[in-house]
Amino acid sequence: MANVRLKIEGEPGKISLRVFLKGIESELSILMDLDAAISGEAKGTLDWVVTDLQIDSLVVEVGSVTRYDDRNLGPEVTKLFVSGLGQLEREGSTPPYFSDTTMVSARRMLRMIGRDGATGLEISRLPGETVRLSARAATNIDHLLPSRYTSVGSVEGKLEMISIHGPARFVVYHARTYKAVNCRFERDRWLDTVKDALGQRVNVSGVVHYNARGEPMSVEIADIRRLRTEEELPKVADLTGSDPDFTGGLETSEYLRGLRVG
Amino acid sequence: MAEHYRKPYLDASVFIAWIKGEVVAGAERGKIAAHILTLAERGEFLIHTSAITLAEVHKKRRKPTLEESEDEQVLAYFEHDYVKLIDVDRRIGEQANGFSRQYSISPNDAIHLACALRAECDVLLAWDSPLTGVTHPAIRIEEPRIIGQLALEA
Repeated sequence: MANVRLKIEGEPGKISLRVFLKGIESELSILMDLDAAISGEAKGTLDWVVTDLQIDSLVVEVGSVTRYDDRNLGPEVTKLFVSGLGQLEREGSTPPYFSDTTMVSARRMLRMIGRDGATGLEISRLPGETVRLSARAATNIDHLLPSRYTSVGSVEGKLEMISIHGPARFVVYHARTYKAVNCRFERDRWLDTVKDALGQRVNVSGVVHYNARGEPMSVEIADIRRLRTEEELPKVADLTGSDPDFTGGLETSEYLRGLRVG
Repeated sequence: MAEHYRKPYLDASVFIAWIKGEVVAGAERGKIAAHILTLAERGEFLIHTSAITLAEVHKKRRKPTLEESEDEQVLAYFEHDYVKLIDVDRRIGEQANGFSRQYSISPNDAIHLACALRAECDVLLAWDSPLTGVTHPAIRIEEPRIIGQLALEA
């Protein structure tokens, strides 16, 4: 079992039940989103149970229970939960595997700080990292959620979470940042391609919407290309010294100066 | 021994020296590059480079006929999951524009620097003096070196 603890700080008797429930509900939403994102299963793989409850300082501890004998994502999910919220507080960038929905849940949880008796929030992974959260993290999310500009470009990563309920879409988890990028596509044109690429690494191109920090948020798909698997790609040893004449006899920096300066 | 790399950014010169198996003034650049790439292949760290590297690591043609298969093999290498590409987007373009002016470097050099900073790399590795001559407070810019033990040859 992997445990996380949520501590709502405030004067006893002043924190409203509404704030308390909203905090717990938001926490659960984030944990479930992360479970679904990592596992690739819409319903996730974990159940969450209350393992400790302290009313003197309003501490709720929950633990994960996996539904599978051979797969336990609890430690990974709880680690991403705590480090992700810490990243929102410290760096103001979108954490790995956080979708727009996860960000909205995080903001709902963070907005209770300073309201209805709640003065602060602390989350911990047990055993492990503890993060103290302030209203700044909610402000950072406000900054990250809206689309600020668009350009024609591409996003590379793993294709997951296909949905044809409403506008057809899927999620690409960015290869470098693991940020969830929503991709909208024309169902009639791309559905078969998208289904074939499920779980694969892809390059999707089209109109990319970016947030104020320059992170890709969504793509209106114009093209999808599946990247080759590791087994299909050359190894380092295959190319080492494979072409001594690659630059036509020029020393590498001289060759590059020719390319870059002319 | 050189400081270990945590999150290295590789300029196009490193990949070209690797493919050539280049030796310059006794320095075995090809082997040094292969060593760094092998460490990445083994999962020691991820390597980062700009999408512009894919255009720069391009075989110089001596014959009128193109030998597509060679470039294709090189391009395929960049699809490895441990090679993280940084796109050249609006922000990179804007920042590179500023770096070109600030450091008197070519736009492509500036794009490499902007991409390395975007990926929050700890070191930018290049065999290219205009680029290694730049001092930036947020990143080390230096020539590649052997770190740890040289990979044993088969």
